[in-house]
Amino acid sequence: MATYLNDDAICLRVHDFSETSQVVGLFTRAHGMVSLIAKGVKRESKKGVVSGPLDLLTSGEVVFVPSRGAAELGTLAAWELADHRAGLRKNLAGLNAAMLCAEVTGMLVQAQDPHAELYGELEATLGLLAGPQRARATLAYVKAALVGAGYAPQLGGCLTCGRGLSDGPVRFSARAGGFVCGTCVLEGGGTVIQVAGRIVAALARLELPSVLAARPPEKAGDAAAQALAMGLLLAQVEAVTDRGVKTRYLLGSIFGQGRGQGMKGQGGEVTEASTGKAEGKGG
Amino acid sequence: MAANPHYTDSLRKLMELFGKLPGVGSRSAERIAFHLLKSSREEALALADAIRAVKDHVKHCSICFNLTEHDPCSICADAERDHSVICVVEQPKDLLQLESTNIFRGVYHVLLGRIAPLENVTPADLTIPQLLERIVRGVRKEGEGASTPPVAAVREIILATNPTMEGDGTSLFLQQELAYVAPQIAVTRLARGLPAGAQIEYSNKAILADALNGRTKV
Repeated sequence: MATYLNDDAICLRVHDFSETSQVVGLFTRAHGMVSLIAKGVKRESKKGVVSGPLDLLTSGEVVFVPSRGAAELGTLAAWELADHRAGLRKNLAGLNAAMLCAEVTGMLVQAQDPHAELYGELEATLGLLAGPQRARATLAYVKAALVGAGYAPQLGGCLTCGRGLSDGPVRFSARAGGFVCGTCVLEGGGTVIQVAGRIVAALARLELPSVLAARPPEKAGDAAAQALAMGLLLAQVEAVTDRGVKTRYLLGSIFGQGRGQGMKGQGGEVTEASTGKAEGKGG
Repeated sequence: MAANPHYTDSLRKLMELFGKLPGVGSRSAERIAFHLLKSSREEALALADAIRAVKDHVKHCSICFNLTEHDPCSICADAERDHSVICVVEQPKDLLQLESTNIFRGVYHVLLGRIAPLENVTPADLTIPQLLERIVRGVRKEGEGASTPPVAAVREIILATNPTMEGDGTSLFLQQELAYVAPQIAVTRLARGLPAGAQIEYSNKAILADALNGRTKV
């Protein structure tokens, strides 16, 4: 007899499988990432099984039959929508930030590897993204995702000598997994990003999204510095997963630097942070 | 299901091609192939000709990107329609569905997709630049025949993308771009909420929330 599991979930992927069925990627609280086939989910008669849209970034309670092997799909049995993200549907920058968080989660969290704390942080982040804390919450979540997946960059001090970082320029190597101060030599670190030490210090101090959500909103920080800090974190995500972040081009929109998601769509104002030319203005 | 080894090469190829069609499995592909074998030569070749004709003649309208055999399409060429109101849809199928209501008398613009950052679909992959150009410069291109409709100043853009997260994102992006390139134009979005005949007791939270947020004065 099939085993039915019940869990909280956030939908991070939706693909059409056939005329009426979809394949969904859900980040669940207790079962990590699960890929399920939602048979006939687009059909009107299935609306009783799926209460509310099973749409990207929505969260709800899922009942599913798990897959037998990692390469197979589980089967969605029921979906009870809890939050359809009304705020994000009216806020382009917030929606773009949510897309980035979804992609980073999908890159860092493995199938059926539970990360209950990170699930809670993603819920908290999605609740913050349509508000004034968007930029800070996005940064905090990507940092939390790296920490949760065990790939957190070394932010406390120089990788080589261990000394605390000064406010002046420091070098970040995603391959080496952290920073090196101005006097130390970085060997075999791959692409190096130069950035102001105060940005690194601000990144190290950044609290979890759930902590940000529990406090009254703070004044928005320096958008350019936040975008540079995000460039560092995404470089780390790309280095550990060996894949490019597709939503990187949305950074301009997320951090309020112009219209951002332009017609050519591929630039993003912080690309220089990933090419090793940038020196931040401060955090 | 593996093809029967006794089938001829051409029959196997035909089944393989039918099997690639949406909603057609290997069993149905086999049934269709045998149906064609049984039917007359004229009937079978008429199908082949129809497929060839569709591929040879159907193209996108140069104005709205709807599917058409004549450029501009019948909707864009219709001088009776209101060319100052453009309804923006994701796919030609959405256009057909809206046309079937017989309510809308404006014209359309088909985006040929929606912005999907997680699938690498960016605004540049859609017909958004052409829409903005159409609004800013007017519809008509130089050298087109006198039968094309006159250029109309656009008054309203109706955003009729799907109410999915990606459809909403596409709509938000268009709102942002339209506010930048043509702030004088009214931009509206299709209403959402409870369908007629629905019962509140059995409606899901998302639909009820939309209905409450989008309530109208009576």
